[in-house]
Amino acid sequence: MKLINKHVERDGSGYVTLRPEDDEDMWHVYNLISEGDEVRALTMRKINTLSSTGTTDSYRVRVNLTLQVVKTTFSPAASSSTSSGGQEKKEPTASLQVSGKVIQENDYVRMGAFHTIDLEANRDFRLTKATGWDSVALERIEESTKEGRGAEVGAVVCGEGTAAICLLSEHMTVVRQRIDTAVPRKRKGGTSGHDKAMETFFSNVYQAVLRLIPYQTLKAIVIASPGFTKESLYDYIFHQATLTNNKPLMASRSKWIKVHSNTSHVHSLVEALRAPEVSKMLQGAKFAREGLGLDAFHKMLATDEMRAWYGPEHVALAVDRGAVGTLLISDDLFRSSDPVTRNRYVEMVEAVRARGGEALIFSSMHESGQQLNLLTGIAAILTYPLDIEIVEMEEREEKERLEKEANGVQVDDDEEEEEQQQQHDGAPSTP
Amino acid sequence: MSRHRFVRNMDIDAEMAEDEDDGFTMNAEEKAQMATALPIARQLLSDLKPTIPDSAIFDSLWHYWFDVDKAVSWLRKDWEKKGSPIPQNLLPTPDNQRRRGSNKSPRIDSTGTSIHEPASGPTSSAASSSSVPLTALQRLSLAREGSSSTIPTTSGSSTPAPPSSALETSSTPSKPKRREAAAAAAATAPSIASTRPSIFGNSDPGSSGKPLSKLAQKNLEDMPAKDLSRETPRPLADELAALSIDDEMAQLFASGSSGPTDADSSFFDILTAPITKELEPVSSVSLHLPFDDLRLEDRVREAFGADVLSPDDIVLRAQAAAKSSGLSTPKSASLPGKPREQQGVLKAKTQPGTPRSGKASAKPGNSGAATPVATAGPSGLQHDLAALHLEQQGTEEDAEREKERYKERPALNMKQEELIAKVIKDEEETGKKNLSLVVVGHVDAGKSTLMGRLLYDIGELSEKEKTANERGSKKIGKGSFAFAWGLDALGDERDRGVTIDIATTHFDTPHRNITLLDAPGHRDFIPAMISGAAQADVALLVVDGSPGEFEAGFERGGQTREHAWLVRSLGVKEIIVGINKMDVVEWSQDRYDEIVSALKPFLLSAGFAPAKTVCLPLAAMEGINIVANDEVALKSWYDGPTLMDSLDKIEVPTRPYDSALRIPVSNVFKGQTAVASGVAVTGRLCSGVLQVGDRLRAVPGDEVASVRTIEIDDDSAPYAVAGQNVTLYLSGIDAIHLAIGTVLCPTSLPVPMVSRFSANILVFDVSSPIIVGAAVELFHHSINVPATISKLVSVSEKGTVTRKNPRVLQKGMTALVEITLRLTNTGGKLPTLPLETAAENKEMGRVLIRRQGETIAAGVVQELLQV
Repeated sequence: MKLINKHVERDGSGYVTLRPEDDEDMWHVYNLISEGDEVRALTMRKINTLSSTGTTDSYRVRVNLTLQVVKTTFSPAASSSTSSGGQEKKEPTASLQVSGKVIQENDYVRMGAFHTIDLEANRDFRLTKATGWDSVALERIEESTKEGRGAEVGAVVCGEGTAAICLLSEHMTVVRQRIDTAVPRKRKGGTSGHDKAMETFFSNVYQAVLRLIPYQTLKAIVIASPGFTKESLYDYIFHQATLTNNKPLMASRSKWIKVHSNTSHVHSLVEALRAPEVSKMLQGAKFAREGLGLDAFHKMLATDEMRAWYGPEHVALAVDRGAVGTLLISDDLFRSSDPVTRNRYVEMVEAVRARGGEALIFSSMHESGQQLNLLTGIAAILTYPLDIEIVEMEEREEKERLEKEANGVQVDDDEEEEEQQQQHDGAPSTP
Repeated sequence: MSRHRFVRNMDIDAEMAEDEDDGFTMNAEEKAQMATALPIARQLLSDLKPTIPDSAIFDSLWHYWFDVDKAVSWLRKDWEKKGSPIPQNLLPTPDNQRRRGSNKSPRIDSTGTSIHEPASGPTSSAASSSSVPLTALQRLSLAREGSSSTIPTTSGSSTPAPPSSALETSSTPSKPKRREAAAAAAATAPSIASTRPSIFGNSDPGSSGKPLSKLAQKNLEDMPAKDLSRETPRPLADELAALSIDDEMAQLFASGSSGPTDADSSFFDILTAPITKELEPVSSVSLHLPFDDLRLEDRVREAFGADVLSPDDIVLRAQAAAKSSGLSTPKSASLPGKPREQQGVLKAKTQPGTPRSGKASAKPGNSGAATPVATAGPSGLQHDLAALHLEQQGTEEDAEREKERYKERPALNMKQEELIAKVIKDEEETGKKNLSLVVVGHVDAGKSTLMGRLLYDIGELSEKEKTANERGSKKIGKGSFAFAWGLDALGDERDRGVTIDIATTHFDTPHRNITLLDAPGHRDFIPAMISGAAQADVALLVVDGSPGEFEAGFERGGQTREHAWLVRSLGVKEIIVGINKMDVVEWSQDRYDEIVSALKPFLLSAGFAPAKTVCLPLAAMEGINIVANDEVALKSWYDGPTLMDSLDKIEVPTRPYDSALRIPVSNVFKGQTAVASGVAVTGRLCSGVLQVGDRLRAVPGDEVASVRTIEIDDDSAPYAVAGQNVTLYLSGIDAIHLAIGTVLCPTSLPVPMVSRFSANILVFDVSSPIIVGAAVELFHHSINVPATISKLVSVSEKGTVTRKNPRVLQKGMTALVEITLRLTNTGGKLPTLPLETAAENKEMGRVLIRRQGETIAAGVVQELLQV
């Protein structure tokens, strides 16, 4: 993504002009735009006119429209109309639609009319945040506009008869194709059915790999499977490459990594990417960090339950106590349409970072992010053990005390009161 | 239809041959039947005053073709009309309505004469002119009717003729005949169904229409008469069995009104079975034994309320007395038939007058002269064979036929019960019980080798195969895998020396018929192992006795523990522990004791009763203590059973024969041989019974297939029962609708599909605790799907809830959780899984939960939840 123009005041007001370039940029944009924001972009509008004689005419115009966003829809692998050609390089297939009310009138469109902008790659748009630019949003812009960012990895997660061809980028895992071939299992009196079906299966996967995995540009291609399928597939692919004299594919041989995974489901991609041989190649890649973070959380949960907390309320309590060492939070939570909720999470992230902790914002387009989503979307590894029940009890007591205060009971210490209030409210302390 | 074509379609030979039989004469056989039926009928009618004259009973019996029930109920109605009605309080309410319906019937009441005209419509006049009794054709049509009413989608054109099973026929019908019959079935089934209301409902405008031509009518009447003469050698019971109760019931329920039952008829007892069944939805397929007096009475009481002594009781008692003479008599008393009405139907049916229907009606005469006919409807063949009754049979064969008749009607109790009875009898006779054995254990413990050796020792694996395997394995430098190759057939398995998938084979011990499932031991292939273990009754846990190896397999991360847990949680109660490779440690008793002492407490903790655990020292390669123990070193301290001995003594669990049929498919393939071609599935019957011709629904999906051939242990069989591993060759379905994990079930009782359910789980020795949202794989029979623990409801200890809404589940906990299947791709509908609660079907309600290659919990489904 290119940052064309940025005009953000200290108080967070202002606008940013961006030019998304690929699928992942679309994902970033989707995460940036929230309900109520203003988006200005070039778009097509169908105009119907009614002449004085009663005939209707309809034509399309290209206009710049400014919308107040009501809804955004993102689909990661929609086939875009322009993607039919076999062009080089990855072409964007993700689509992002922004619908809302027009708030700036022009010659063609009235104020308040609804419009849906299909944001396109390589076309600028201007975004003004309704609630102002917060640190998480700005961070995302920074991250997405970094040059040469992140690793791009292809992955084939397979088992006997099933395969998922995935492309991973910094923030997205896109399952490009699922292959399901019915493979008869072995039975007495001949395994020809099995062997034949496996042959078909491998050839299907090989075709899909050729079509969907840009092995020349990717950093690494991972084949993950339980059992021996990965070896068989690897052998098959390079056998075919040799037969067809596919030089580029053969040249990419060093990039292919065979990794063990426990299942043939896409979700075992997380474990596959944790494997040392992969993480070595993907050093510093965001999704690798996410996977490790989630793994660390699970390990902590196993070893010391009091240092692994999850759930928004619980984690908020831990953040208040300054106990969070690593905060795992899904970007799903920031997409909340309620600005107050979003703000709460933003402040949590800021609080953790302020205390020197690490805050990992998981992309929910990755498997690790999805797993975190299932786990309420937020989890924390604490720096010191805290018993959740004691903390909850404390909270209750404080609440009671606060209630007493509210009822006009004498308060001993002003400072303490303020602290309590802060703790009680979770994030926004009202001065 | 053109007249010319009609004439052309007639079977001239049949017509010529049949003329002489027309008329009211009774041969010896019929007289004998009358002699049997008359006293029963008289007894049934004895409570009526004034008594009905014998002549009237005689006539009506003749009219109903010795169907005592029908005759009696007709006589009752008749008698009732003349005055003194049966007290209302003796009649069950649904019956009142039916009776009212019947009272309106335009039957000509001629005080017990032989001419009754129950059928209506203009065509009935033809039927009334002669008193031709029930014919083969009519029975055929009755049977059709039965099948068409129980199976909603019978269409002759879609299903090719089912191959004849060993039970149902001794002579295989020729192909063209079958096809003809199939056409006949297609013509008959729908038309009868459409006119059915006229049988009981009495006023069916649909049955009127273009009257039949004289020629057609004559044709119709003549042919049955001929058939009648052919079939007369048949005993009464047999005869009546042809008019199945099930058919009758189906008719009854289909027609809605009209009871052939006045209260005293024992037929009503049978009727109460389905009624009570409907009252208690829990026991959806309760096994009903109609010849069991006690249960019958119970059912009747249930239906009427305990206090009322219904007329049925009286009848029942009377019957009980009569019953002592044998099965046939009470059956005859309780089996209804509607011979006369059928004829009317038959005529109505032929009205459309298509060439096909002409053929259909000509058929019985035709085939009666030639060969038995197989038909398209699943039950058609047996009916036809029985009805046409060509060969002279001993009573034994007759009895068998009778059973078949019961079996052939799907989704109803009678056939299942008969089949079950037969299976139990067979088991008793041969003394052989079916058993599935899964061989589990850590990788390289020698499971496949042990089984290969066993098969070789008992002769299931031929010398030739063995030498071939030996040569082959030596060639690639894996000589020690020679025996394992007997089971490891896949190329990968042989190359790598690791079992990858379940190998299924079978062998016999003196008292057991064992289906052997050789499971892979490698941790990556646990899904396959689960698929196998889910099909097993008993497990053989093989451990490696050589130094260090046992420990490696038994430690954390080894498969010994996990496998033991898995098989236990999949319902295996009995386990045999084979301590293999004892020859490596020179048959050291110390080593044996050491291993046993390590295993026993563990197995106990896993839930295997000590009495159900046997430990055996073995050497697979040498073949010692497998079939015989001839090793001196071992003999010196061990005189326990050999592996074969232990297998022979395994207790066979009771099978849920009477539950609804469930077959989780574990493999789908295409049969390649001539006999066994087409779409085939393998799987184990979790519950219920199945036979050739049954129609099964494949869930998920909306497809229905019919069973063409059943193959058990490489032999085709006419039926299969719960607990057996079968290969089914299906027709009428494309392989695309079947997948591993599909569940085959009766069309009437499909398995529900769920994507969220609650389950009681037992948490195993997990490395990290289970929290809400844990991404897991859910294993159910042969499939595994991504799922998530969406809610931790409560933790319980010894049945009592100790904590609600726990934050985490630690190892060893028993908890109630909610499990939701995970979306496999963003957006779209949640995936679903065919599943039942454990209360409904034990085997369909068991799930296993794994995470990151580790089995974390086993559960039983408590409740199916809406998403």
